Amino acid sequence: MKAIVAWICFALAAVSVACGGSGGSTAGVVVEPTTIAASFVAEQPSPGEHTVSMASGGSDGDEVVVRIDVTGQDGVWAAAFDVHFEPAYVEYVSYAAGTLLEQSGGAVNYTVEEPEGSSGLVVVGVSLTGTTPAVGTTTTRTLVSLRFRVKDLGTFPLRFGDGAVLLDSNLDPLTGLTEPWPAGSLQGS
Amino acid sequence: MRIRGICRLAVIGLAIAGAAVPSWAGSIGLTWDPAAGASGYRVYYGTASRQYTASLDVGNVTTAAISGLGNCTTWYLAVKAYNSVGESPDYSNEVSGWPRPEITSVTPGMQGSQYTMQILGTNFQTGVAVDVDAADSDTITLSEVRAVSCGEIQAAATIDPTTEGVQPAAVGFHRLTIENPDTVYAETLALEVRIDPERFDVNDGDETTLDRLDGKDTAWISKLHSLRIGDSAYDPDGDLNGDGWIDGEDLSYIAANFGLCWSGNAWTLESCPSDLQ
Repeated sequence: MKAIVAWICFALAAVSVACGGSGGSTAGVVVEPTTIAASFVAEQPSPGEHTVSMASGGSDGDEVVVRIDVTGQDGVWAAAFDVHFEPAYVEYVSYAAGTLLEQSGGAVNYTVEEPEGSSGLVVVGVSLTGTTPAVGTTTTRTLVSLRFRVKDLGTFPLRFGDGAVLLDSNLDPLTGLTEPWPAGSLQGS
Repeated sequence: MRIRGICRLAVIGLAIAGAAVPSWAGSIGLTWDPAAGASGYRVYYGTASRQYTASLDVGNVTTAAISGLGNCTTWYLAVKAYNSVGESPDYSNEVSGWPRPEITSVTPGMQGSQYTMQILGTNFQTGVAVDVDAADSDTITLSEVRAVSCGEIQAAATIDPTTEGVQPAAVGFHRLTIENPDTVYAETLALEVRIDPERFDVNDGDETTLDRLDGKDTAWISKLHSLRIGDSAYDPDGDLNGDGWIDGEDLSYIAANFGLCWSGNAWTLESCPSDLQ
């Protein structure tokens, strides 16, 4: 019995060290959960014109906002793309409206869903509505923001799925964009 | 004994069912002209002409619904008036008919389908007619209607759209009117039109995402957002629920299956290529 208690105390001590030395209790009563600080590192921190890319929108504890930005692009009416992540370490939380299509002053439709039965996939559709003219930006504006929760320590890539497109007002794909769209990685520390 | 003041009582015919004379399966509604001096009326009925086996005092009214009648049977009815002196010696003219038809179930149909519709119920006579409301007649077609028994009607049904660009039948329940040759009829919101989920892939011109629901499909619907039937730019292919208005409800069908692929009869993740899962 003494051996078992000693083993448990050793295990708790080990957890405490892994957590950076805070929160463990060798008294054998409480082990606080690991605290994750989430962040995002963009693949392309300074995107050039005609680029759709991921950028950090800030962090809050284990949650991080990833902006989907458009830089130097005219004639945007809609966007359709997938974002893939590692579901064992990351979970999708929510989305927030951007600033690019909102320039139009018209209604913007956001459809952002994790397909039923999927894991590690968010499908995004953002569009203006009706006869609202397309919009553009000479600088960088956000199409939509996605909030993720990082569940573990480490670096976990995000990537755009194949077939990501910006659409013009005729719903034709805009050409000349930087391919593939630069993404980035979530980090838990 | 002659009853004074009661004369020339005439049943003017079986009442057509409606608010004035509600009736249902197992019942017949009838109405008659009032008789001078009458303080009430008694309806006589039976299954053989002029051989009435039952009667009902309906009071001082000129319409009545006689219930408890056996279905799929011809019933004969006549009326006598009465007052404080007694009952008139003579019956009115006689009317006859089956109890009102009743629909208990109708085979639902999916948009874009052609199928044999089965209507179950009772009191369906040979020669029965089945119709949809005028507002539905452009999108729901019934033909080859026949009563295969007094409890079943079959009809060839076509629910639009049978091709792209055709206005779809509205999703939901539609009124069917069933009228027997004796003009007694029934109507009920019993025909359910179900949405055709294959139509959700509105952006089917894009080979890269053919048979997948994604942002291109929602953009396609958004382009038509708020257009109503009759607007020049209205496209019936975007009016998924066929309500004549392309709106958020149509978008919601796509959103509910977002990222899924068409298996041949449903939207599923498993039907997607591995790089889209």
